[in-house]
Amino acid sequence: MNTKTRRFWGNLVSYLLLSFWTLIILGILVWVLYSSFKDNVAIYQDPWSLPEKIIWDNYVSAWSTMKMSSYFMNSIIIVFSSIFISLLLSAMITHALTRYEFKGRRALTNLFIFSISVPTQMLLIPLYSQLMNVGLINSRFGLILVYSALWLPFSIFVLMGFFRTVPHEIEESAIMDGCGEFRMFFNIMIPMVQPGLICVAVFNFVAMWNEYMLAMVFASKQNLRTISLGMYALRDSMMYSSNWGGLFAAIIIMLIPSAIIFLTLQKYVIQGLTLGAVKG
Amino acid sequence: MNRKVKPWIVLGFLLPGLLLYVYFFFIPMLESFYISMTEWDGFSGEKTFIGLKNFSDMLTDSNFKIALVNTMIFMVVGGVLVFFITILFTYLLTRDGFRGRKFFSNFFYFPNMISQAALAVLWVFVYNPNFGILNNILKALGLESWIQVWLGSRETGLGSIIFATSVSFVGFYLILMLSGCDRIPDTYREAARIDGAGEITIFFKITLPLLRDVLVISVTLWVINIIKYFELIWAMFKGANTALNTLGTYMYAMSFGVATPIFKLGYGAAISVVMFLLVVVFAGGFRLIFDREGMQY
Repeated sequence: MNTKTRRFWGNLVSYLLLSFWTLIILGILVWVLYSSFKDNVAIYQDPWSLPEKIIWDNYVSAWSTMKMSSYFMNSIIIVFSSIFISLLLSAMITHALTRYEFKGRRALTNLFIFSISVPTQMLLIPLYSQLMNVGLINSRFGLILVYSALWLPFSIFVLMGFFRTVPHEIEESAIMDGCGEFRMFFNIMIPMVQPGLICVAVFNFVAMWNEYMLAMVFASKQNLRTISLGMYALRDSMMYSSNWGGLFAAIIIMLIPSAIIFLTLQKYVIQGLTLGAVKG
Repeated sequence: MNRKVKPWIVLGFLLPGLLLYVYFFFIPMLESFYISMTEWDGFSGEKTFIGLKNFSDMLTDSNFKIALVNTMIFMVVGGVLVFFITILFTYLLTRDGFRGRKFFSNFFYFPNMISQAALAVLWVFVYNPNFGILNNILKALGLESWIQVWLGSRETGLGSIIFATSVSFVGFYLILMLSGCDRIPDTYREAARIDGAGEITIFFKITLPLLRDVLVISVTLWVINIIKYFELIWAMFKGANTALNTLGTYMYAMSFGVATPIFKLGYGAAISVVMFLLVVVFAGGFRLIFDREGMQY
């Protein structure tokens, strides 16, 4: 066999294997999408058949009767506040860890990196009693603080890679121009590590948007539920009153923000994985 | 070289985040060790100190043993599967002259962004014994003898969950590996190609050894994430299927209950401490054996 035919067969096998994996993922996505347009009877008759006519009712009932609108808004408030807090605080910490020399710098850096390996379950019970003591169980604010704190170590870990790429000469010239430390942070460092901040924001968005264990323990009241917890509760309630079409519509509603973010910002994620995780 | 500045400036940058971290992360982490040595139902303020009794209770708790073994199976079998697929795809996508690398790697990453609570719904449908697509496909292929209640027994149940998990996570590790590949200069592989080495030889003799650091980090992340894995399995069974519990779901069931509250918070904390120790032993041990100074290229 010459090189050309060998390459042809090699490519053919590659595409077959990769297409198989693509089909699994695509199959699931497409199936959820078209199931969200079927009514309950059609789903019960054959969950895999294509819808005979497109029904939008599922989206209406998911959004209002199944309270996805309220869950959606809760998640927006909680997730965006948490992202903002954890991003600002982790950027400030990373700035200090990568720019300044002070006693305990190494130990602190190692402590944050070590914290990534702590299983969330280990914090669940102590946090529960901690929040109960200060009356923050079943409050959005309590969950926001928990999310911000728990995602701090990972955010610092990823941001370190980005902060380290900013050359020290920039600081020197800024100091010569009489720039103060806090102004330097906000006006020089923040713009320069912007791709890193976006990357962390996307990572944290995905993780917090989909998280439901902490939400289930700290904010389980119906009017406080996040979208992921709402999804879990919906699936749970399907045993009693089944509206599968509505559930599939709810899944699509939940997926839309992630899909938009994925399509617009994924290049930052890939860049972040390269810089943070690989070099960290 | 980092600069020396006035202490209050350093403190100004560190303090806000550090306060949050200490109160909501560091203190709870330490407290967890203490709670694991108490008996506590969470309502009465009283935590009764019982030493290591929670840990010795685990030795006779058959459900705990199931969860522990399941977690280990998950970590090892799931890890082998996920990294086999990841390495295979890394090879396929970085072959000389391959087109579509970006499309495939991005698309494979997408399931990673879908909520595990939502995925649980889908996988339960896929594996459903009566109308599930998996059994339907097997029927269509004439493999009737393979049809079974996938989530019914421990063996097939674990296998099914491991497969579902790998669909979610292969994309993540694949992107890590590919970004590692990008840092290897092309000259290495071109030189080998000129010497007449085949693509497979190049991959195993040049690319993969140079990806060692990335692979170590990926496996470490896998171990960390799989030991605390909770959301997919809990959404599928809600802890009711004890044969398919992992430590993550069993810890939750013991602490906050399945259908009726159990509130054995001391025991739950003890399980979480075991999870932490497993991460330290496996992730730490793995890094100790395989980590070394960053390779120069």
